[in-house]
Amino acid sequence: MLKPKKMCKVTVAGPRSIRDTAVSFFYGKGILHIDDYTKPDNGTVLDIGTPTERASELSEDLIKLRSIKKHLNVVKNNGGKVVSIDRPNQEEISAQIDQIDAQIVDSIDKIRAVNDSLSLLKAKEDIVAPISTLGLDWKVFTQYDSLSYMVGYLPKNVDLSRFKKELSSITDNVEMFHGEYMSRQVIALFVIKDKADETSALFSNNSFTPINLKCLEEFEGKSDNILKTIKDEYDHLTDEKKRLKSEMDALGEKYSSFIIDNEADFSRDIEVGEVPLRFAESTNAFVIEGWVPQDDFTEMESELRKKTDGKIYIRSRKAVEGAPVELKNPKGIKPFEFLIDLYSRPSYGEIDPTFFMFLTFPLFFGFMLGDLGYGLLTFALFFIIRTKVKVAEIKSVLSVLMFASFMTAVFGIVFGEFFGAEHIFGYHMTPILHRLHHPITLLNLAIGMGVAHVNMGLMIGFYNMKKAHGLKAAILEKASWMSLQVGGVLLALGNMTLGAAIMLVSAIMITLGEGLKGLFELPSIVANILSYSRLMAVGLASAILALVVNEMAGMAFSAGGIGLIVGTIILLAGHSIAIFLGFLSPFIHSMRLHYVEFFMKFYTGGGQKYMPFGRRD
Amino acid sequence: MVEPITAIAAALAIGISAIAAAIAEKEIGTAAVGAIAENEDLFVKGLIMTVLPETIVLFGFVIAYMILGA
Repeated sequence: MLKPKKMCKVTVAGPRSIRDTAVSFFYGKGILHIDDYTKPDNGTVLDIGTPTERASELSEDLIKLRSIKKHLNVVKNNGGKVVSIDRPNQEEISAQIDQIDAQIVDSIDKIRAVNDSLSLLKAKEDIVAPISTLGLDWKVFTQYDSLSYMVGYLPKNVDLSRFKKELSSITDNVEMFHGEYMSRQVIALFVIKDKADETSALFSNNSFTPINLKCLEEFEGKSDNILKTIKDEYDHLTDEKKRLKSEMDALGEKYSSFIIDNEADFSRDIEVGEVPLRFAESTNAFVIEGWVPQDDFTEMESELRKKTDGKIYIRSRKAVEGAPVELKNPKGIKPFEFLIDLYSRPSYGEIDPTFFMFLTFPLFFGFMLGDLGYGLLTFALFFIIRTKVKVAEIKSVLSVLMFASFMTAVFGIVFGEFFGAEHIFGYHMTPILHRLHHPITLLNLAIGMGVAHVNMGLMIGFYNMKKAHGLKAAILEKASWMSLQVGGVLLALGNMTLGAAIMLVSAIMITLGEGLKGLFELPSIVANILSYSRLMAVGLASAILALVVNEMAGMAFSAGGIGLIVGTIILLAGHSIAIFLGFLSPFIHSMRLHYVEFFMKFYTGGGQKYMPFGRRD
Repeated sequence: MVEPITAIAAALAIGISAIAAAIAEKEIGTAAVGAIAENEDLFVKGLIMTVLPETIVLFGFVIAYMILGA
C-alpha cells in the first residue's frame, strides 16, 4: 500500500523466427512495460526493429476505414466481437472495405452534383420569380433592331407616377410594365434605341438595380410556366438528395458493426505489428528490454519458454531505480491516486503518499467546511452523479469528493452546524466545539494539525532519505528539522539555554545537510506550520457565510407575505452559492497544504507510469 | 470591547498583508495562465505557484488575532 508494485528489469532475446510468437505472447499477457530502444551513435549490430508487412498494409486499410466511418457518421459500438489476430480472411475484408469505399465515393459525388444543380436552380429562380410578376411572355426578352429594354428593381420609395411623368418628358415611344416582388418594385421598360441612354440615366438617378437576363436565354414561354418548371426540378432534386442521404444512412446502419469491429481489430493488430519499432533487432536476432512486476515474472518466464520451445534467452534483474511505477492501493483508497498523479507520480522506491492523502485530505476539507447539512446533501449529490458518469478520472474525483462530504458531515456534528443553523428542524444540536464562540481553540487545533502533518512529512522524508542516501543524510536533512522544532518549543516554554542549544545544533546539522540554502530557509518551518491556520480561517469564513444567508432569509420571513417567497429564494440561492464556494475553496486549500507543505518535506516524484504493452483498459 | 486604535491596528495587519498577497498572486497567476495555455500539464504546478503567497495573508491574520488578544 505504501510502496509501488515491485518491478524487475527483463531482457528477452531470441532468433527472429520466433519474434512474432514472443510479441503476440507479450501482447496477450499485457504485463511487459517496454523500454523504447534508441540506437547508440557508436557502431552496433543492433538496429531498431522493423514492423511486420501486415502492419503497413493494415495501416492503409485503417485509414480508409476511418474515412468511411467519418462519412457514414458511424459512432455506435455494438459491443465489439473479438476477431483472432491472424485472420485468414484479411483479403476479403480489404476487398469489402474497398467496395464500401467505392460506393461511398460514388454517393458523395452524386450528392455533390445534386447540390451544385440545386444552387444553380436557386439562382435561376431568383431571377425568374420577380420577372414573372410582370406577366410577360419570355420571348419579349430578345434582340431587337430598334428597341432596347431594361429589367430590374426600383426602390420602394420611388413614386411611380412621378417616375412615369419624367419618363414621358424624355420620349413617348416607351412601354413600361411593373409588378411587385418581396416588397420591391419590379420594372421592365422597352424604349426606342435613340432614347436608351437618356432613359438609363434617369433610371440610375433613381437607384435602379438591373437584373441580368443573359444566362436565361434557354427559357421559352410564359414566365409563370418557366418558374413552375424550375420549382418542379428543384423539388425533384431535393427528393433525389434525400434519397441519396438515406442511402448513405442505410450503408452506415448496415456496416456499423463491420466498421467498428474492424477498426478496433486493425488498431490492435497495428499496435502489435509496429511494436518491433520499440526494440532492438539484428539481422537474425531480436532483443526486448522492459519491466515486469516481480510477482508475475516466474510464471511469465516458464510460459514463454514453453511457447517458444526453449529457443529464447530471458534474464531478470532487481529494479533499483528508473522502473515504471504502478501504484498499488486498496479499492477505497485508489481514487486518491488521482490527486497524486495530478502532482506527479512517485518515483520508483519512494513511499507512495496516497494513503496519507486519503487520511488527511478529507480531514482538512471537513475541518474547513464542517456542516452536517452541506455534508449530507453533497454526499447524496455526488453519489448520484457518480452512478451516471463513465469516465474513470471523473469517477475518482467524485469518490474523493464523497470522502470530503463525509468528513464535512462529521465535523458538522462536532461544530454543531446544520446549513449554518444550530438546530435540525427544531432539535437543538449541542456543538462539541462552537466555531464562532471559540475561534482561538479552533486556531490552536488547526496549528496542531499543521505540526502533526508537517512532521509526518518529515518522517516519511527521513525514511526515503535513509533508503536512498543512508542514515547520516536522513538525520542531517530531515531529523534536524524536527529537533529544530523541539528547540523552538523549549525556547517558547522558557527553557532558554537548552532550547537555544538544541536550535543551534539543529541549524548546524541543516547547514551540513543542505548547505547554506538550508540555513536561509530555517524560518520556512514556521511559515509551513502557520500555513495551517488557513484551516481555521477558511472554516470561519464558510460558517459565517452560511449564517449570513440564514439571517437574511430570517429577516425576509419575518416581514411575512411576499417576504416568504423572497426568503425561500434567498435560502436556496444563498446556500447553493455557499456550498459551491464551500467546496471550491477548501478543495484548493486542502490540496495546497498537501502539495506545498506536506510533499515538499519528502516527495521526489517524476516517476514513469507503468504502461504495459497490450493492456486494455 | 477593544480600543479603537487596537481594532485599526488589527485591520491594517490583515488588510495590508492581503493586498500584498493579492499583488504577488496577480503576477504569478498571469504567468501561470500563460504557461497553462501552452501546456496543460502545468496546471497543478501553476496552481501551487499561484497560491504560494497566500501564506503572507495568513501571517497578517495571525498577527491581527494576536493584536486583538481575543
